[in-house]
Amino acid sequence: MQTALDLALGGISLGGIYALTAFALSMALATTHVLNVAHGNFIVFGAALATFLLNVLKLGGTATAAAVVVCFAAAGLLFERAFVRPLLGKTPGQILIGSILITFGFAVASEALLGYTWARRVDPQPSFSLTFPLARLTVGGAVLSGTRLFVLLATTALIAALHLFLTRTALGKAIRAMAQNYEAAVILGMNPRRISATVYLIGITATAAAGVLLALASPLDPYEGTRLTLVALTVIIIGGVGSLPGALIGGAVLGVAEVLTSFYAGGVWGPVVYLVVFFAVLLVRPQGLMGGRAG
Amino acid sequence: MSDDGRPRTGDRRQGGWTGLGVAGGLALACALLPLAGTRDLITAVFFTFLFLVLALNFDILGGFMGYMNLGQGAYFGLAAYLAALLLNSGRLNRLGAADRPAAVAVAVAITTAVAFGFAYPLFRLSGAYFAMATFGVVLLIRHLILNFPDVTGGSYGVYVNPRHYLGLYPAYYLGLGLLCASAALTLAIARSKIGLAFNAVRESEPTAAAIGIDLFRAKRLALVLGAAPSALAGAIFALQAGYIDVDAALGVDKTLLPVIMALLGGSGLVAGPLLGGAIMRAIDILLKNYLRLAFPALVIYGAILMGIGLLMPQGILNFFGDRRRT
Amino acid sequence: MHNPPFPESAQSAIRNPQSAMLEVSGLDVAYGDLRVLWDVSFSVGRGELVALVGPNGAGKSTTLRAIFGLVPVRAGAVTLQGVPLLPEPPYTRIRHGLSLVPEGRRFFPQMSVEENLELGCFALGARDGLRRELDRVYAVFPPLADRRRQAAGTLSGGQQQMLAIGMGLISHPLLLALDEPSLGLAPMVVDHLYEVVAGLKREGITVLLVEQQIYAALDLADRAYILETGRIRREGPGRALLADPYIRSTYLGLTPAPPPG
Repeated sequence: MQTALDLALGGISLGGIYALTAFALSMALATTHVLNVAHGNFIVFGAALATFLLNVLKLGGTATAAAVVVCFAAAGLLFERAFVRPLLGKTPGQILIGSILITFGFAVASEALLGYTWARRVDPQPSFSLTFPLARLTVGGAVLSGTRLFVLLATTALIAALHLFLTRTALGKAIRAMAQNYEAAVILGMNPRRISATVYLIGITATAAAGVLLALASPLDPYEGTRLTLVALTVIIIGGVGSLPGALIGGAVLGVAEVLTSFYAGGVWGPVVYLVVFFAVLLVRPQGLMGGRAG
Repeated sequence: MSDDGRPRTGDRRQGGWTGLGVAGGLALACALLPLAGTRDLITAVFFTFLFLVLALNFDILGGFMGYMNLGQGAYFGLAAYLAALLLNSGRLNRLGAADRPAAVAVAVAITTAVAFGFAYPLFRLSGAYFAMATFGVVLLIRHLILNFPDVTGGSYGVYVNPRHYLGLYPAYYLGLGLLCASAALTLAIARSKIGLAFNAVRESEPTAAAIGIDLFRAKRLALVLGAAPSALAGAIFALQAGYIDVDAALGVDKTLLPVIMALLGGSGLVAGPLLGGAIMRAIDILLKNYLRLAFPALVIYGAILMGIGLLMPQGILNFFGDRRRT
Repeated sequence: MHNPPFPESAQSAIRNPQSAMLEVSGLDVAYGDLRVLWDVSFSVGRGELVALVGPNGAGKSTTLRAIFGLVPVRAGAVTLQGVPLLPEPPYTRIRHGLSLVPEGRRFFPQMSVEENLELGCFALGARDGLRRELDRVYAVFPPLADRRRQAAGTLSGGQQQMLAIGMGLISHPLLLALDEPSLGLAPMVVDHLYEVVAGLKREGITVLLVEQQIYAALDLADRAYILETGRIRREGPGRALLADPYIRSTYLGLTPAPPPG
């Protein structure tokens, strides 16, 4: 019973992280038609910054969280301005090539730079990992992982905040509108540049936050970025583009699958299962289990 | 010029006599190099051949058909591992002297079959999704290699038994031969109905389907044609290097560099990847030997790819070719 | 009458009380090497219903899209109450008082009817009075009121068109442009649609109507322009064009109208 509880909590909390980052990617994809290959790299960067601030500079938890938010909000804006904005308004063929070249190039360059700098200045074996102070909690006779619980609560809060933003605010509705019908949105006065900037500001920040939470669960290395983008993409393929419920379900499926696989087949196989799911879903039902078409 | 800057079928003026003359001259120069060059230089040029093959192969699916394969290195690495492991296993010993060609042949065959199989899930996607999925193929192969260390040596890599080594000079000429064959293959595709079909798929899939092109078979063919020579390059690499591991065989540079080469020089043209490849290898040699960099070369390569994407995604030859025409 | 809520459009109304509402002159549009519009010029006066009609592929939709900045324009000018529009990005058109109901009834399929209409007011910004505006649209289109919480993508074709027009109207535009509103709709629904358009005209709303259904459009229009293969061929009052022999034979398949009396 204990183990089942651990596994369930582990799977769901991991799934929440995957859902959050997948939805951020999905929104950017739906509104700007750019697939950011470097999306997963921001998970790693978030983890790296938090590790640096918490473990190396010994700043407190709140200061670190605030710094991460500010830093990556700025990073999101810069990234959008420099790499996505130039593509806005081009033809689909040009956007495709341009976005892959720019974001893939960015992914490779940035992770190489991070790995090298970290190895030279901080730790020759770069690894980003955080520990949560309340690692073990006893709730009603069962011992739960405080870390996982915190991660679950944090991702729930972030996803709920995102949902409220998208459904209750004018800008949030405009983002959804532009994702559903770009031209109608423009005709009604929604500024594509402003929406693109907002989507990346929120999306990159949420992704970096997801990285901080992921680092609480397991250590990350600098070169996992593209792999994590692919994980997010797997979630999107399961749940459909632009769908929050789809991201939640897809995230839950992957999170639980990964935790169960690690438990039964050994830790080396957990990180592989998303690839198996990815190709399996493509073969069996490429339009996604929720009906959203990807690609 | 189609909307992404790549040549349209009507623009196909490749393989003219001047082009062949230049190519022939270069091939001759390369063939004569081992008589005069140092071992280091010969090795560097040998690796250039392999990268050029990868770049040309990338451009079959990428340039002619518009599907970017970010996992080109997968075929290279998989065949490298297969060839090395097959020879090490001793199963082919009874073939005597023919064991190396046999191992290479089997490695290429299996890799091509794997590429063929992956066509099924991969081509359910298109565009950037497809590109990411091809990257997934590399990751999958890496994971499999790392997770079965008893068979593959895991993260420690594989040492090829010295009696199976391919010497530098034979490897060099094999590489040159493979490069010429690859270039000839790409040229043949460009000038044939197959190339026309590929271009049609790139321009408009619904139209291509409407005129009777079997989309999936065309895509699968492009993938396979781009996989086999890369696999051969990988097998040759393994036998010449004597030692491979996941980073040498399946590293991101095996994907990143061919993409840069093809796109820098000009996607969709046979000469494009060759030009881009020459430029990139020159930069690489410069960086490794003359400029002491404070950080890894990958940072520069990534930046170059970003630059191409922002400034000149259609590549040098297409960029200037377009200017000349208008 | 309608008070334009945007400072830009209100100011230009004060500056240019006499000018035609919309002036298009010398519009040249090409898609790459394919030339689509040649020197297209026309105007729409305040309170008029002007129709732009012509056969399939004539360039009618392209003309509207060019006015809205959705396709690149090679040459020409478009002014609304004297204010030049073409240098401005497309998303500012609505602030100048120009509203478009695009071809194919564009709206947001996964959002509810009411959310769609609310988005029609997006550019207005201020939110008080939103309820009043929504009720105004529901009064004109009662079926939408019944389905206000329904996802827009599940409406019937006719209802979707009503929604699209409602979204175009809710911001009190100076000029409403309709791009082939009858496309894909059953004849009975088209009749109802044209009753609605006639109602708009009665309320004094300036309308630019692009249509393939030439008879209905010419019947309703104050003035009309015939666009053929990218050029304006004829212009005149709607009824007069209906009696024009060339038009009758080419587009309506009719013999020349009998002389009056």
